[in-house]
Amino acid sequence: MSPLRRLLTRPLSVASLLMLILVVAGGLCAPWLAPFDPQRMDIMHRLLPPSSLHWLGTDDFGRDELSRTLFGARLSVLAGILVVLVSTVCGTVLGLLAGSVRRLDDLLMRFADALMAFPDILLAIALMAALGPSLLDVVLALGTVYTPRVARLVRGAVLVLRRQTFVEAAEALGASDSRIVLVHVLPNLVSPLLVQGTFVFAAAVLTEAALSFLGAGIPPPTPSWGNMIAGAQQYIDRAMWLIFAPGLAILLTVLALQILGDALRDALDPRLRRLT
Amino acid sequence: MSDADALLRVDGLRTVFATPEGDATAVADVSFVLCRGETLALVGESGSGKSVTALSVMRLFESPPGRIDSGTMRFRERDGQVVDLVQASEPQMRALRGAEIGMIFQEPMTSLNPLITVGEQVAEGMRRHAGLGRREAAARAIALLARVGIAAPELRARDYPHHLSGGMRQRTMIAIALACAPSLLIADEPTTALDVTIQGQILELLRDLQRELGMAMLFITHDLGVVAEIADRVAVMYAGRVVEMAPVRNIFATPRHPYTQALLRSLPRITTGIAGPVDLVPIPGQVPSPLALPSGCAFAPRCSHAQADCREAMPPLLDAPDGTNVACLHWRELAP
Amino acid sequence: MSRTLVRALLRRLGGLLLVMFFVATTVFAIVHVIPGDPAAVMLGPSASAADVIALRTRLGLDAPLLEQYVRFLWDVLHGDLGQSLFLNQSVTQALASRAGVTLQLTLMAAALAAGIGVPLGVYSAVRRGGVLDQAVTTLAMTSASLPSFWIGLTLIAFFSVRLHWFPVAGYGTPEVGLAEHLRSLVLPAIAVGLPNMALVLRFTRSAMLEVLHEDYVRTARAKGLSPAAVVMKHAFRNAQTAVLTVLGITVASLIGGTIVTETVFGLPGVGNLIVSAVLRRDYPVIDGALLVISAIYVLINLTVDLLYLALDPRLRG
Repeated sequence: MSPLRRLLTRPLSVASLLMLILVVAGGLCAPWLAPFDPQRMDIMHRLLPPSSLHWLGTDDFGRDELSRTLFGARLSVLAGILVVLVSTVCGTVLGLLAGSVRRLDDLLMRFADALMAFPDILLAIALMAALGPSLLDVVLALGTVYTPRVARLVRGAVLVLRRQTFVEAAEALGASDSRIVLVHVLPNLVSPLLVQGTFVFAAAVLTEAALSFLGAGIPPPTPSWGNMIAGAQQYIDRAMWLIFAPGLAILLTVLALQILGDALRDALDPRLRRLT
Repeated sequence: MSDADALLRVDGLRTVFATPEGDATAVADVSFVLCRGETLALVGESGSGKSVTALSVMRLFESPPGRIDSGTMRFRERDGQVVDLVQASEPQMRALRGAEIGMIFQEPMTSLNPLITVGEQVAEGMRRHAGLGRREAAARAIALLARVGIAAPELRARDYPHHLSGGMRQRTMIAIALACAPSLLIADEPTTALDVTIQGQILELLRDLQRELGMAMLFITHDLGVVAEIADRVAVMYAGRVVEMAPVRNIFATPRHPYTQALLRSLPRITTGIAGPVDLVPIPGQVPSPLALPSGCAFAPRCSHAQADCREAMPPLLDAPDGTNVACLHWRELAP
Repeated sequence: MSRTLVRALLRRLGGLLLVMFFVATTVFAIVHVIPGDPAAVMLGPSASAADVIALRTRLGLDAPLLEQYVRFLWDVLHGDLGQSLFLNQSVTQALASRAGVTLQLTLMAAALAAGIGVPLGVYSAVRRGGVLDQAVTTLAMTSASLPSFWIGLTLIAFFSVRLHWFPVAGYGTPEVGLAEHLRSLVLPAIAVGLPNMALVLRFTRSAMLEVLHEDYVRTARAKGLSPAAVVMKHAFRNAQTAVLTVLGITVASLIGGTIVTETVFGLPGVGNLIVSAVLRRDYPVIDGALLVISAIYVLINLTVDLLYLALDPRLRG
């Protein structure tokens, strides 16, 4: 049974995949799907509860919450994908170097340990202090936060793979180092990187939300789920739905990603399948 | 053997494991009787169901996915009562395990808890079943370790399993199993993982202890050499069924089931035949999958003497001379 | 303890100290190497060039990079973390005065996470596949997918605003009264502890599942021991090291959680300090806080290693 088919046999995985597609599609198509302009203010109609006109109500500036949530999805999805790309590319390069060149290994892994000694949010905040408040800076910061994890993963895999007989056979046949890496090592990295990627995506969404909530990420008025919740904090007694909508969006996205990640791990390598 | 002597009477045992691909029948229809003081060896290749049979007696297999579908296992307790182990409740089984039925396993390296001292692992069963106090149990544990042939037992009792060699660990397992003097010992390939020289020592120890305690032993193995040394009676298993049951001498001298005969023929022998060295004769084909057992005789697809009626229905265990039972419709025509 | 053991421990300690060194270097790099002029950022776009240069000199930013780095390391080794740019105190003072709150919050959250996560993890492993197991696993996964600030706000919305059981924000110092003091920490502790409880639960459960399949557990059952003895004395004891590992990981996560939660609840802790320092670009405070936190992390790692030794006789040789 192909891995994809195996994945699709579990109803929970299918549901997660659909949820994820919904979020990604909703986010990327936000400019066309949103009923209102997310920045359009209407003070006369502020803090309205959900109605047929405003499905998720309006915020303190009278902006349509649904549209803002959709654009928030766009931001989170973009940020998530970019962070995964950045951390995967950098992490893979560094991991390959560490796994292949013994002298670099110790140095690089010590730096990785140093970076991983901090909680994600702390490192992200600290980096944002030096960077500016834009999506690119957030991606840079979060990319730096998650690169060490990917690098460790790749390095570990490279060390294991290098000792396996098929690599020794290739070396015996006179293949050059770079060829060994490209043809033999990289293809075997695809599965674990894919699984790790979903988890990094989930973590990136959560951390970006926290950053924006604290004011160190995407600044208002650009809607990010995090800064939407921050703005709603003072109206907690009057307009609780303003906190729930973006929060629920985060929950559904991250949950779907985590379930999918577990399912991918099970489907791609039965040996990794835990006894759960 | 009279009814009073029969310690364990297994009848039509059927143990099944639920898998994603369907039910796998590990033990298809097994019946045997075990008397006090005697050793019955269950022999077969891997996958023949001998280990699962042993685990079924103790009800120790993982359940789910395993379950006993049918059959009875009547065990005579110390007080004379007879209990059906298939129907017994879990608390009843717990009372029997360790106290009246003991079991030793194949892998001494992994069968002992690495974080608990050897002495404690021997003593805890005694505290549980015989109600001994801590100090008393600890002292008896040391005595037991001495009885199974471990030198300096007072020191060894405070060691952890990783300090002991494979042979010593297996002796410890034996001490654990016999701590409460059970009437039945189930030994699942206890010597397979040990060096050949140690194997002999362990077998001798088991024989000694059996004589001393008057225990019955259900001995699982795939090694016919071990069978010759330790068994009184032998049950040959194939694809979850008993195909031949006989006193040990008869199995070797006059095997009656085609599978038993083939098994003996495939053993390397030092002796040569009249015309020169005897060729090893492997058995063609493969053991059937427990997911799809054939409806007739399970060995028929590989048997050179198979006939039409062999494939129709599972042959029952028929009586043959000298206390032998054979599950073959045509055993009379086959020269042993 | 054997000599090889002591040597291994020392090597580990050395390794951790090396990590600290790299951490300090990384912290330095974050501020001083990344392009951009901290002084200019601090004073804002309306500042004059002269003011910026004056600030740079005052901060020692005009010295060559290597000199700044060495001075930084020197100061750190002497425990001098510098002076805050916005508060009227040294960084050490600022951190010390707020450490108490954060410590209490972290401990309460850790107690919650471990106290509920471990037993539930063991239980759901023993009752694998049952209704409770599935419910618990779902709950755990959901809590791990929620940002802790959102949990905090939701808790406030229900328990403080609706039910008035707890204060909406703010902090009652112990002087005000122990009850009031603890009341102001309960909701934050739940907000931080809940996602971590989920993590602890998942790891404990999978560690137990692996151990329950081991041969020695089968031997324990074959002895007729009670289910409690089999699960706790034989199985769980072997899962302890795995649980310890996850508790170590949880610490990093807990610290991250407190940072955000203190902001939500307005608690005067280290987390709140860091956030406002970042927003104001109070670099000495940021540096100092990062160093202290990674030092705590290193200490926790070392403690976990020592506990491994205490728990597993195989490591003692």
